Amino acid sequence: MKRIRCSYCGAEFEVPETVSVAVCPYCGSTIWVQSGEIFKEHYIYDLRIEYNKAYNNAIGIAQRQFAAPEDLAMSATPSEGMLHFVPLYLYQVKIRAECPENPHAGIEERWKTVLAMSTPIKGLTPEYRFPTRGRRFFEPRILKRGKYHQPDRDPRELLELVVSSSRIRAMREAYNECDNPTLHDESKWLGIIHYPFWQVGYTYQGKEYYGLVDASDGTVVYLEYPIGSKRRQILVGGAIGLVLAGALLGAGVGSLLGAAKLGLEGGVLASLGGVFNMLRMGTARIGRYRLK
Amino acid sequence: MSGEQVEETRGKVFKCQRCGAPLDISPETIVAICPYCGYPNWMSQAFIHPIVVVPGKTRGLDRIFYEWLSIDDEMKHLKDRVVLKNIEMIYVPVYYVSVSASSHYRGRATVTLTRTRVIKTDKGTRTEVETRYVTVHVSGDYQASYTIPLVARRASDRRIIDPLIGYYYDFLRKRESLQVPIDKVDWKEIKGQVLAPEIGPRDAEDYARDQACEKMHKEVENRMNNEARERAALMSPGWIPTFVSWHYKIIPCRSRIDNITPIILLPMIHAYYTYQRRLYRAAFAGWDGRKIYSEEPVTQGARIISYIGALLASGILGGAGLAGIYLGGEAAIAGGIGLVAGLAGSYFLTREALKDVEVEELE
Repeated sequence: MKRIRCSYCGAEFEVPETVSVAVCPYCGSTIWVQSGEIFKEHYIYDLRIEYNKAYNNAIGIAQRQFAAPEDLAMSATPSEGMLHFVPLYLYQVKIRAECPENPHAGIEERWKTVLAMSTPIKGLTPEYRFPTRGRRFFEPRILKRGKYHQPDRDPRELLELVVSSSRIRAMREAYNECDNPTLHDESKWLGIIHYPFWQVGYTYQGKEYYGLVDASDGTVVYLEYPIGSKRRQILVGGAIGLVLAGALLGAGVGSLLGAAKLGLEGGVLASLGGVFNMLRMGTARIGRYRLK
Repeated sequence: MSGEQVEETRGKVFKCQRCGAPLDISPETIVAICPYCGYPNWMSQAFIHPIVVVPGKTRGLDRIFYEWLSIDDEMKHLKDRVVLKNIEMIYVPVYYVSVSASSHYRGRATVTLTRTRVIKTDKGTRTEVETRYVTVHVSGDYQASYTIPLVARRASDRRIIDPLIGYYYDFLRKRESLQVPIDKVDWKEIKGQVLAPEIGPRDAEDYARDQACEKMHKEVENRMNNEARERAALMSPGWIPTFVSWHYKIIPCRSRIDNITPIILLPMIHAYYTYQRRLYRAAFAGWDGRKIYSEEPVTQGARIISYIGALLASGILGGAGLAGIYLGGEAAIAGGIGLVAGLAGSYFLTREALKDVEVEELE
């Protein structure tokens, strides 16, 4: 940890060594750790989903899973949730490669959000598409409602990463038309966004399960659920049935071709595709749902 | 662009220029449509662009949902245990941009050609596959026009919005006029949340050019591959072209914006419902109630059918497959394919049997 001083309100506070941008816990200013410079573009997404709703969404998705016990939604008891504010960097990629006769020879236009913490919270993947219903200016009071995560990746380095492939694409397009295109790169880092997620939890038959719900629009991102004992039986039984039916049918078809034993083996072999699916679900300790 | 706006909007309370009601502004808003009187408050003169509204149904949202329940082939059997949790109307801002793209393409490729010959020998016949390579030049002109739909929001749930904008495009093409200029709308009749547009018309045009060129690029690549094959086949009668490998391929793209529509506020009805405490979503076009997206329960019957399919695939295809391999000759190839198909069939059909939701989207 190192101590830094907020250049706006003068308060001193500690941040981890790796952090490049920090938010003052007293006045909410966003500060470049190295230079002490105050950074203005800090946004937050609306918290539109209360914990009850997030919990209900999670349990509704859990109940949807084939392997979940029938009485899950009825018997589960919610445990305390936690609100996380996850830092993102927002970039605008705006690149144009110009040829003498065609100003639009190569164009790359897009907005990109990149996760700004190197170890994301459990269940959140870097591929998650952050839906928008309007971000707004950051207000420090909102921090008191949840756990605020500091960004620890360097936004300027990430900008390079975000635009380099687009730059190459734009130039490659332009080289189709002329030998010396000029590159206009107006890409920029637009700022930090803090995005809210509910960590939800519930207990079923004495065990704790974890989930993560987008607190801005209610999407269930990640969820753990118990495997019902009856479901386990169906899955294991189904896998055995698949092997047996494969063997029998295979032997029958094989005997028509004069090779019953090979037919039987072929049937069993082909059934393994399905057996894999059913046993993977049927023998798991807990089920895991991930948003596709 | 955003940088300037940030300075302007930060810390101010915005009021509607017509009725004085407070406005909800986010940093990216280019125009705030007053929720009380419907007046478009532009954040910067640079963005000003016509806005039209497709008026959504003003009442009976629940009825649209229940109507779908009672007529849908699968849902009508489940409807007694369905509980509607939440239903709302959302107006999504959209542009449709017409772009002409053209290209003078050229390239050089080596095409692989094969020929199968049946050779008679003392012991019967055997087949022999021969290969040869031909290098060809390909060039030509390509022209196409595209209509690119763009949601004027930075990020949005594409699974639902894509079918919505696709469905509305049918109306645009048939020139069925559903849109009303925003100042002609009786705003008291508009019920629902209007998502503020965040992408201005100039940025929308650049986006559309980018996408149109990407589309054309793919089409030209296909055409060039076909032309290379055709040319190689003409040079070698009796041979079948298979693989094309390019030495170079130049596909420039010239684009021109032919037209950009006003910002169209498209109404969408979004619903959450449960079936036996399981949670699902459905969405409908707000102007005529047509279902555009739904998540539905997977019924026991559907699961059983998939499972039986997996049984049959592994038994019949797998059994015949391995037996076929043993028979040798051409049967061996068919057998190999059969075995792989059986394995894949049992894998994918059991996945189908165990999945948690059935998703239906309007094409």
